[in-house]
Amino acid sequence: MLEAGKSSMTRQGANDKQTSGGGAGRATLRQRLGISDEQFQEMGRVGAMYYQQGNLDKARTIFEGLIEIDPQSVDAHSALGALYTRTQRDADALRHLNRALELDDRQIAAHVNRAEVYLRRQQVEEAVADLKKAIELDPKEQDAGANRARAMVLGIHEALEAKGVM
Amino acid sequence: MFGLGKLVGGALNAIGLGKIAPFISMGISFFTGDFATLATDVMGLMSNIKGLDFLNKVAKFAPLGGFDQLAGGFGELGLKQFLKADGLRDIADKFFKLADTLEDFQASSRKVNDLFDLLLETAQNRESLESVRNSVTYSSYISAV
Repeated sequence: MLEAGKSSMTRQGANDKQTSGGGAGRATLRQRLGISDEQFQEMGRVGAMYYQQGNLDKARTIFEGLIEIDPQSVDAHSALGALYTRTQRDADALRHLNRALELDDRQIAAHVNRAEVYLRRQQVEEAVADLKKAIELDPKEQDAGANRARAMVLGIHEALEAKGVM
Repeated sequence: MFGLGKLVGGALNAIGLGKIAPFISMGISFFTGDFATLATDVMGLMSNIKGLDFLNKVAKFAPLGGFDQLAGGFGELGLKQFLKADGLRDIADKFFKLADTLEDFQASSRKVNDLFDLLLETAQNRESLESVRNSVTYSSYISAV
């Protein structure tokens, strides 16, 4: 087994049974290939570039590949979950967003995107709980994702007012 | 509340989130839970919003998370270098050799193949590289004001 690099972005070790290599105790493909945190992050940023350009097929190719390389990557699951949120593939989005939040429940983006999916599914209470978490994680209003959550709260407030609840 | 009365009329449209608005309205319309609790929760969140400055920095699309962050990577020159020079090629070559020899990579190797093919294509394409350079300053959020 190759030496695992320390990573702030992944949870290694106990979950290695889910690696691309297949068998329990095997190294992840990322470990076998010796991909550093920085290299992994840069590959993700290429995906982010395509995502921002609206080239979602290419972005998906990158995020899916990164998950195969490192199934424990919070960032890769969060990114693919975001892409599926944007394309309204809600079941797929939830699968990856839930996984990202299982790995790290302080992921603002995953909370915001899951709230969006919940709203589409008319699961308002669940959506509000995720929005609350996202906002709490960014008290200084610096994170663009958490600010998206704040905007969604305004929208919910507006809808409640229109319904005469507030 | 800090001028929200003016804001909320079409607020989501104004900041590029108009597509979400119908889903919110629909969610509220079909809501079958306790409206009083929901209203209390929403008011609690509203009271934590300090003002409207946050609207200057709102994610235009579903935010990606860590890959959205510019910090922590190589930076502009390092990224171009990684794509153009040996770093990426070495990793890709390692993978292609592994994929040829290890049976247990077969199930997932196609997606990883596609990943490296695309990264290498990006690296070889001057236009793509330029986009990478520009992406350093890309705006993942929009200004609402």
